[in-house]
Amino acid sequence: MSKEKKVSYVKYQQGDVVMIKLNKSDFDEHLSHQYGLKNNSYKGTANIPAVLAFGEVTGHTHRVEMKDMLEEAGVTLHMSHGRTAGKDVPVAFTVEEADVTLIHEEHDDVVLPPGTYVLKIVREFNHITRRAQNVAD
Amino acid sequence: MSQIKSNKLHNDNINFSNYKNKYLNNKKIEYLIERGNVGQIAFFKGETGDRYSIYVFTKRSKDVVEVSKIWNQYGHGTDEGVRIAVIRKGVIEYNSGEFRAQSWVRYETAENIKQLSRQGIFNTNSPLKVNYVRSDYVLRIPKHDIKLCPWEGIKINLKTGKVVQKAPKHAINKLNTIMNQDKAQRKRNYIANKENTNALKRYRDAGGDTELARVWNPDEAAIALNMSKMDWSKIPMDDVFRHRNATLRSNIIEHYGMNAIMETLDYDVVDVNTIDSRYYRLLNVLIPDFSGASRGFNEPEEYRGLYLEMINPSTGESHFEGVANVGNNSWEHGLKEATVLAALAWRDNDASSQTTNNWSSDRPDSETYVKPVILK
Repeated sequence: MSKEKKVSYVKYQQGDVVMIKLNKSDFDEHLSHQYGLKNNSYKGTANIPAVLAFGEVTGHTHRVEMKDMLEEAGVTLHMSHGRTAGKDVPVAFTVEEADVTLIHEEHDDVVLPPGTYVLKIVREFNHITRRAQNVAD
Repeated sequence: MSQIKSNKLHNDNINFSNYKNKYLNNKKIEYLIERGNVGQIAFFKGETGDRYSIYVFTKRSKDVVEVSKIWNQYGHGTDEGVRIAVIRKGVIEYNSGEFRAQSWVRYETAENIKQLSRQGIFNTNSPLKVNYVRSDYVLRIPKHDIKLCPWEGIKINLKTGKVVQKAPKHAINKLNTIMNQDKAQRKRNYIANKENTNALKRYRDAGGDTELARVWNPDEAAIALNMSKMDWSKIPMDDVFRHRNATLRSNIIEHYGMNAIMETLDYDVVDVNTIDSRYYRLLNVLIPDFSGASRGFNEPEEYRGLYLEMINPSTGESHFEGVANVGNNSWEHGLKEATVLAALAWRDNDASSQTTNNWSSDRPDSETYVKPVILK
């Protein structure tokens, strides 16, 4: 068991997607400890939208439109092992150059400044099935 | 595995190979008891599921055989073992005298009776059985109509197969408790099975395919297609509490919506809070459970769950989301307190986000919540 280290962060939220902005060293440590990730990152291209979360129920996605801003902003998605960018939800992402805007059909836009972000989907506890699960919108 | 050699004490021609056991199902041990020399031992490994235990029977005097249990740790040698029973004049007294719950080995009396009986340490004509029933062990010796909860110091006559003492009060009370628990649980299971069976029939009659929900990783597209073709008028909303299958419950919630289901339930408001002009209520909701599917054995009949009522900041719509209940110990990933802030912290995974150690406790309180700088 590794030694516990308290981490402070800034939180951004759009609906069920929580983006935790960590400093670079905490970010690297978090990915390494929680996902065993070191170099499994994906640099976006203009052809694939940087989807951060998929709407399982509505089909609406929380996404950064690549054509508009991705290339100049330099967004890198960090995928867990065996996951594909644009198809699966990343565990983290990096905004390198300029602010990017996260858009969703049912929520207002969220502007994210450059930085390293860990991505979490909010969870709910279904007391009828007695299971904790990610919120699906 | 026996260390028993020829018996020099007896002036007859009976040795181990031509000895016939008269009362014990384990010939080796009976021979040690009846004809073994002082200092001689016999031993065996535990049965399947107990293979790391070694049971050693040592003849201490003419009428006394001590029984010890040794933990044969994989790759780490053996421990010193503990005495778990003594056999005096054919009567075995289970008395470890040293309960070591911290060890991987269980030294409880009932467990020892069970494991030794699996190796034939019981009267041939009076087989015994030790089962775990609901919350404790029950020893049964059908031939003598014996049913009891084994206690530390219980004595069983190996020659007659009878328990030689009267059961102490605490053992009688324990047995009564177990039997009552068992009766109640069986009744509960009967009702739950009936409710579940009827709900499944209604689901199928409405055109639902219950087989789609019976797999580990359900095909969501196939379920969605099936749900779109179902006649939902045949499925009452409260069937959500009757199904045992979680996927079928989820399908009904998806059809009716959690808000509609919540309107039918009783609840208490346990906390209210306004954060950045957003209004939240934490509700303690009474969840009916006709199926008993999700109720743990020791859980009360009445189950309540915490729900957070919130307003979508972008659309202004109110909706409910369940959050974990207040956990009673550090192993439960529930809230530390029933507050809106703790519920929000649990919902946002704040406790686990605040540490790089993924083994840390995940039980937030109000202090844990990190307010978003932007929430849309």
